[in-house]
Formats: sequence, C-alpha cells, structure tokens
Amino acid sequence: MQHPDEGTIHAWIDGALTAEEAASVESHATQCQQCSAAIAEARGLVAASSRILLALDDVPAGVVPLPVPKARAWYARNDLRAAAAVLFVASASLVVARGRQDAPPGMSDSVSRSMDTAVPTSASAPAVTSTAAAEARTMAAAPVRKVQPESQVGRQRAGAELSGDAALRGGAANSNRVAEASAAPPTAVAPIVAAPVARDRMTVTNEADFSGKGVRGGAAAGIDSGLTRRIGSSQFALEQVVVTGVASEVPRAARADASASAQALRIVRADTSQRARTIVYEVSEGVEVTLTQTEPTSFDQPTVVQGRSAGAAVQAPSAPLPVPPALATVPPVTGSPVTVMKAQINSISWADSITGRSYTLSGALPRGELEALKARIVAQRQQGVPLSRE
Amino acid sequence: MTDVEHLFRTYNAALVRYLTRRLGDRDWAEEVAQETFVRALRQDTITNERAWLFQVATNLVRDEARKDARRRRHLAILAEEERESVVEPESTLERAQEAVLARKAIDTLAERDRLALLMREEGLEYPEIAEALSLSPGSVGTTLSRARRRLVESYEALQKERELREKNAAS
Repeated sequence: MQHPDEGTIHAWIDGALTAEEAASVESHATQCQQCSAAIAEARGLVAASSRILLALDDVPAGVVPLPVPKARAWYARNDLRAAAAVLFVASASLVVARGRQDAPPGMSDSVSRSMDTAVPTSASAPAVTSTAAAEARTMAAAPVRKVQPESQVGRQRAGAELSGDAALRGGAANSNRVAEASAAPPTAVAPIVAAPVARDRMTVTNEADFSGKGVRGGAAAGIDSGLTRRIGSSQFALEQVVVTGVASEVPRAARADASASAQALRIVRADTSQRARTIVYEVSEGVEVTLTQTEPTSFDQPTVVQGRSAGAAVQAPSAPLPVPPALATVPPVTGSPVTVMKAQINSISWADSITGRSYTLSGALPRGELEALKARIVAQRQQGVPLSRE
Repeated sequence: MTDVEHLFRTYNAALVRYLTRRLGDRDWAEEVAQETFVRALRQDTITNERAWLFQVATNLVRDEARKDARRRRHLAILAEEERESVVEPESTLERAQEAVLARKAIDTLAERDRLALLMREEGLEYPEIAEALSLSPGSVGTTLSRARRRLVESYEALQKERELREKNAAS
C-alpha cells in the first residue's frame, strides 16, 4: 500500500478497516515516516475534536419557562406526564410485542454495545506511537507509548474495556488513556500493536493505607498533564444527569445513566511525605481536588516517596472512560494552556477531632462544591472503598 | 421484548446527547428523541436499530435545524458579549465560553460532515453512519477526517480570535 489517504487513516484509527486493510496500513506505517507522522496528526485531530464536542453537552435543560402553575391541573404536572409517557411507551411496546408472531429479530451486534460506551468496540484499534515532532496537537513531551499487557507499570491490566464507568464524556469526557511505558528512547515508528488498549488499574487495598505499594502501581500515577489543560478548565457539575460523552470515549463516551455523585471519586495520585499525605481525586475529567492530611504529631511515618517518583516516571493517565481506543494522547487543543491562568483555587479545612488529623481540600471549584466533595470523600474513606477498579 | 422499551433504554441517552450537540438545546433534543421512538413503535421490524434511530432523528431535525442554526449563531454572539459584561464565577463563565466557541466551531462544518462526526462520537460504526446518512461506506472515513480537521481548525482560530479580543480589551 502506498501512503494511505487521510480518510483511510481515520478509518484505521476508528477501527473501520478490515483486518487485511489494517495490517497493510500498519506495515506501511512502520516503514514510512511521513505516514506515521500523518497518523499522529490524525490521532490528535480525533482527540481534539472529541474534546471540543464535549463542550456542547453543557447545555441547560428546562430553559423554556413553564406556564405559571396557578391553576394547573394535577394531570398537567411534568413528572406525571413523564411517567405517563414512559407508561405509554411501555404499554405500547407490550401491545406490539403481543401482536407479534415471531420472536423479535435478533439484535444486531451494534445493540450489544450499550449506550454506555461511545467507544467503537474495535479491539483491534491499533495503538501507534508517534514522534513528538509529528504531533502538532499533542503534548510536546510525548514519550513512546507501548501497549503491553505485562507492562512495567505494575498492576496495570490490558483489556478491551467498555465499562459503563464513563462520565462525562462526558459525558464523559474521559479519555481512554493508554499507560505509557516509561522512557524508552522514542523510535521513529514504534511497534504497532493491534491489541486492546490497556486500561489503568489501581489496586490499593485500602485508601487509608498509604503504603507506597498502592501508589507504585503506577496506575495511580498522575494524569496526563495535557488533560488538565483542555480546551477550558471546564468543570462539569457533579449533578449532571445526562452524562457527556466522548466517542470516545471520548469522548467522548458517557455512561447513560450515571450521575457523578453516585460514584466514589477516583484517586488520581497519592503522595506521602513525612507528615503530610496528599490524595488527588478526580472529580471529572481535567478537574481534580487535593486532599491533604496532616498528622497532629509524630514523625514515625514511613517516608515513602515512591508515590511521587512513580507518578513522575509513569505519567500514565488512567482513564475510566472509554474513548476511541486509539486515542492514546489527549492533546490540548492549542499549545497554550489557555485555561489554567484563570482558575481560582479554593480550599476548605477541617479537623478530625478523634484522630487529631487536620485536612485540607483544595481545588479549582467553588466552595460549595468543595463542601459537597468533602462529604463524599469523607463517606468514601469511612467505607474503606476499595480502589481496585474492575 | 421488542421493544421500543428496550430500544429506549439502550439508545435514548446517546440519541439525546447526539441531538443536544447538534441542536444546542436539550429540551428540543429530548422532544425529537421521543418523537423518534414513537416512530419506532410503528415499525414492524428494524434491522439495524441504532442506524435507523439516528437516521430518523436526523431527518426529523434537518430542515428546522438549519434555520435554527442561523438564528443561533446570531444569538450566541450576542450572548457572549453579554456574558463578558456580567460577573460570574470563573468556572461557569469559562464553561459557557467554551460552549459558545464549540458551537461556533461546529457550525462551520457542512451539515453532513457535522452529523457524521456527531454520530461517530456516539459510537456508531462506519456502516451505520453510511446507512443513517445515505453515504457510501467508503466515504465515511474521508467525511470524518474532513469534519474533524475543520472542527479543530475552526475552534483554534476562534480561540485565538477571542484571546486577541481579550488582550485588546485589557490593554
């Protein structure tokens, strides 16, 4: 195959080529610098457009004012109407079902993919690494990414995940990020693996147990910094009901029914130093809060600094959300962090009277939201939510 | 179960999101989604359900949406100017601004390119997109590549433009 055209490259990224076509593209790309650069650019476009589209989900509902409910009949209540509509649909489908002789046609394959995932379920989506230079829209310091099931990143497990664990994305806007192997020298064209995309896993036995092992999993390591510089410091309301999706996963990719508040907050990173422990939670994509816990006294804390180094060495963004599997990078739309400048960080502090520990929760969110997060985090920690994500 | 009920549970959220992104109005999107499922009720059998639903929904909005787009563009400009003069918490303001930019950017796409991209974002596969939009299957990749490139380039241009305006306003 000579130089696949742009449409073919996108089709390849989207997993829409046949196995032979895909193999042909891949083998060509291993030998052609120009094409592997084109592929890198295309992946950047795929990721960037998913992120831009996420912003379109942020649209209020119920904006059209309802008639003043002065003398509104009981049957005109919206929630009753909604219930009636559901009943209508349900009963209509019953009627239709009864009227049928045959079994309903078998569901097409597409149905088996629930709406929860906007991911095109192509497990054969290749993960192509790219040279840093080629990626105009990806992070400058893009290291080589290899998809390896037995990665050196500890507890990571590769699997074609289409978990309903999306959010926003949001609506998901989380992207499926491939864990990056730590710094192998970038090669011009990396081995192309037609493998399911690796998903990060964190297996920490107990959130309160801050031993280094939990952190070293690498899966808990820091988020791809490019992510925090997205197209805006968009923050999604915790209560958003229709989850924004990314086809990804990304984009989009949203969970149909999840509301962020129902889920335990995901821990992005955890560090321990002599007296203070910090945990970084992900509220939604690109939005994090930091919980700092300081001991009242005592210097017999294990000075585990592994967390930090693990986090630094393996900048593995972990992604609960599905996104087109090939989106290994989530590049900022522009080179400049347009948003970071304006975020205002708030923090709230409190003390645990029993243990004497003091806590601070900070993040680029309004205080009210921080308070709500505090409640969730406190509850989550009390329940000893296990952090292994299945 | 046939299942409009099953169809609804499986696809409604994706359909609403697709429509919301296309129309910029969630209430409207939900109405259209509901109308789509009502149409599904009248069908005996649907072979490729997701493609069918997206196709019907798309057809339902086609003409109205075009008219609406023009009005909306105008309003968005007004709205953004309005917003800049109102003091809002940072996060809401920025989010709103991004939404405006995204809206403007996606409006620069050709309708078919835009729809194909939005369907792809909902996970539709190429054959489904081809079916829903009456495209040849081979042209879906080209359509998507064009759409994505256009969207990103428009967005970036709009962003630069806004930054420039803000800089000038500040100085």
